[in-house]
Amino acid sequence: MWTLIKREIDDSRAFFITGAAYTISIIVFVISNVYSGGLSSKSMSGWPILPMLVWAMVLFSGMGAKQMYMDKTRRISCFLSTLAVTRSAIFTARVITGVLLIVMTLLPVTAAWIIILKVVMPPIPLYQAMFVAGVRTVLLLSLASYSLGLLTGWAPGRVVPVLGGTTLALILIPLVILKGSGMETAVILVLVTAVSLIRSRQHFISTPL
Amino acid sequence: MNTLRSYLVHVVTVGVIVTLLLSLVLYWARFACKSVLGGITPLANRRAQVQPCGLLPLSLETQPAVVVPSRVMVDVHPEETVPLNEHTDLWLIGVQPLEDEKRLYTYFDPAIGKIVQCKIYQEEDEDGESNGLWINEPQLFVGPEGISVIDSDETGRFVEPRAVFDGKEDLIILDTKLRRLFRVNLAARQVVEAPAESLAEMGAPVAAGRISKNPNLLSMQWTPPLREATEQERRTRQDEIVPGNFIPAVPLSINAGEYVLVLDNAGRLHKLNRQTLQWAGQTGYLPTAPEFAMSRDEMARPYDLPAWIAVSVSFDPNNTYLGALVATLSPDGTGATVAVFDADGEMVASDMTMATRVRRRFERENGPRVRDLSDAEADTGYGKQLPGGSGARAGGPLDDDTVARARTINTYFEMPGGPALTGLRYLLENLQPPVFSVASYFTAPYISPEKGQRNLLLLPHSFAGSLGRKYQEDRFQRLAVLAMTMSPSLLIAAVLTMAVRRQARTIGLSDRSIKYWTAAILTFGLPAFLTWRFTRPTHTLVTCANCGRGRRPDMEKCHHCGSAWEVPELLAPAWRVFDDHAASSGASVPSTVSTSLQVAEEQPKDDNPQAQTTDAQPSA
Repeated sequence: MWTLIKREIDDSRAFFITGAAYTISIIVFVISNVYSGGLSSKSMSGWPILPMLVWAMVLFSGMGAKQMYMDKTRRISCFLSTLAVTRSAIFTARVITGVLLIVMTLLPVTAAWIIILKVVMPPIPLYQAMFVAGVRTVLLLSLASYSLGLLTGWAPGRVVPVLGGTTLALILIPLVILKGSGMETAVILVLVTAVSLIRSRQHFISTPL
Repeated sequence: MNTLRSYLVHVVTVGVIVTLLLSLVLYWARFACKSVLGGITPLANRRAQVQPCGLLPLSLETQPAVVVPSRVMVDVHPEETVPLNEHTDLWLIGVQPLEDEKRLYTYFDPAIGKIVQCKIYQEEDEDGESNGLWINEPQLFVGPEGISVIDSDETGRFVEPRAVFDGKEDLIILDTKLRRLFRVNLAARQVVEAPAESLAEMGAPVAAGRISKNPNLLSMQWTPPLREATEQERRTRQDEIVPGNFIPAVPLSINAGEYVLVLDNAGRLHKLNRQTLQWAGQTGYLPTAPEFAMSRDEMARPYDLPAWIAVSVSFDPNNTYLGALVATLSPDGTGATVAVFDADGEMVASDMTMATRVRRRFERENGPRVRDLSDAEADTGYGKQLPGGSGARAGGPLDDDTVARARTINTYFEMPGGPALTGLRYLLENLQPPVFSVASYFTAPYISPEKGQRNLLLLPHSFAGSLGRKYQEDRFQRLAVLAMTMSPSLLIAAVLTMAVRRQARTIGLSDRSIKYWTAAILTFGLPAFLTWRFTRPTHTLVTCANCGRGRRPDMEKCHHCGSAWEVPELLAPAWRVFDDHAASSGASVPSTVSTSLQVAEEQPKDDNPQAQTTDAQPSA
């Protein structure tokens, strides 16, 4: 499994580099704002939070779609299946790699947000609860976007694998605008992630060699 | 069995994703329709107002100096949505600025179950600049059993408190779970609890002190009688000056009289003595606001309304309670009502949003709701005389006929583009799964309007939901109304079902599968149809030799005509090829022809049974 994960990371290094660039750009943006105009809740209200979120979801859904599309076109799993590896193990390694990308991208950003909020927001339970709910929602949204990418990446043709996951992720993002970061949103996102992963796995392991 | 289970998982997973994503798309499409409708609705149709409000004696409203009589006005804001985070209202009670950029935060801490008052500020370094570190100095911990300067178990725990400031030092705290009401003086560290017999006079309290819910959806403006401000007043009483250089002619105040208002779960307003929290009587109720499809002049429950405001009006010199001003927003957020209740709780005036033609007719028959009282008719024939004959003649409550015609559908249908947008919204609602439309119809009265406005599947504010709230008595009437409301949805489902059945038969799905798909599409409508399109089995069909239609190659018999496969039997042909040259070596063939083909003509004609069978295949 470890070998498979390393191989998946190696195959998706472009996405890991993009994720790192995304994280660094956000942190640089925050630092530049701090030095240019100070950090306050008023100045933070003008930050482009939604575009940041959209780009992150495009990255994660693209990662999922790429993993499946490349496998389909290069028949990687067909080759690996001739060795002592099952498709189920390949799929698990793939998902672990995707989760790794999400965590590696979001963790530094979350840490930066925690530092910012500690500076800007007064230490009262309301803001802490709102922050925890926000982080939970972004994490679940990222997982859902990645899962939708996996789901569409195995589809036939070229347009659906390339654009399908991103389109579905972009349809899903307004859910957060509509329902906020409460438990209802969390349940919906968990449901989308679960059914997408189940269907992707089923499709992946049942495809003939 | 594995194949069947796999297909089932395929269908269910795709179905869930399609249903959720389609619901999201439909929600935003409906939202766009609603926003455009709200945007093109003129302000006059979104406003309800009463002038004079009817609480003051006529002598005060018609003083020579008074330029503008008292007025209460409510505006609906259809462009606004219900706020997302409920914690904001519940947990953060107030922020007061102190000296040196320090702030006094009052908030509920759910971890310890207390209302905490803290002095919070950022630490400064030697240069006097903030170093980014917050200092939190707790001042008070308020529990139901008392106040302390440290977090102590002796002061008890709140469960779900709704606290509002009543003045600078006083808090009105209502714990809806504990069903206890308190008045807390933070300066004197005193806690006064409402006696049990006071709370027994009302239903379960919903709000106390500042009676307001979602003020961004519904705003209320109230002005006392105004006169022109003098030059000196402009300098000395700047905070009282209203636009136009007017100043209140009568010292009135809101929410500051001798009583505290409490709203119970039935929609009744009660007044409690501000100091002792003793019950002092009922003082009004939440009136129903006009909805899209109906309008009923009845008392509304707070749970049913997305927004409401109630304020008490008192006469300043001796804080005499004059009455209450109450405004409500309809469950679907399209119409509003404003009502004025006198000190005895009797409605003395009311108005609601209505279409222009409905308003014109009403004002032709009853006079306008807004009067400047500058002429003699102010004292004649305008509305009802207040009890005792001392009050100004107010507009009085609306008559039943006007209330019945004040449905907001009339407003939408008189605007250009209104009918088209309304029709489009209705069509979009009918693209929802029929099962959810049925559920919306029956569950609409039980879903809170705030949550309903953001629902994806159950739509209590849809046409079906609105009618579900209206028709609740007669069971057969309910079903008939439901069938009529859902008829486009059912029609769409029927058309989609026919299409799926035709396609399923073409590709040779079993009768059982066709039945399941039929049931699914009749239940879930468009999402089920899209699921079918994404998950239907794909087979390359071959032409049936019997019926000529496409048949599946993996089935024994044609699923159209039932004929089996005709496998050609490989029999030796009736003709032979002879090699004359080779034969000549046997010396039995004439030597005149070197090589020739000779067909064995002597074989009987029925030697090829396959060909004959094919020709004789019954057309049945």
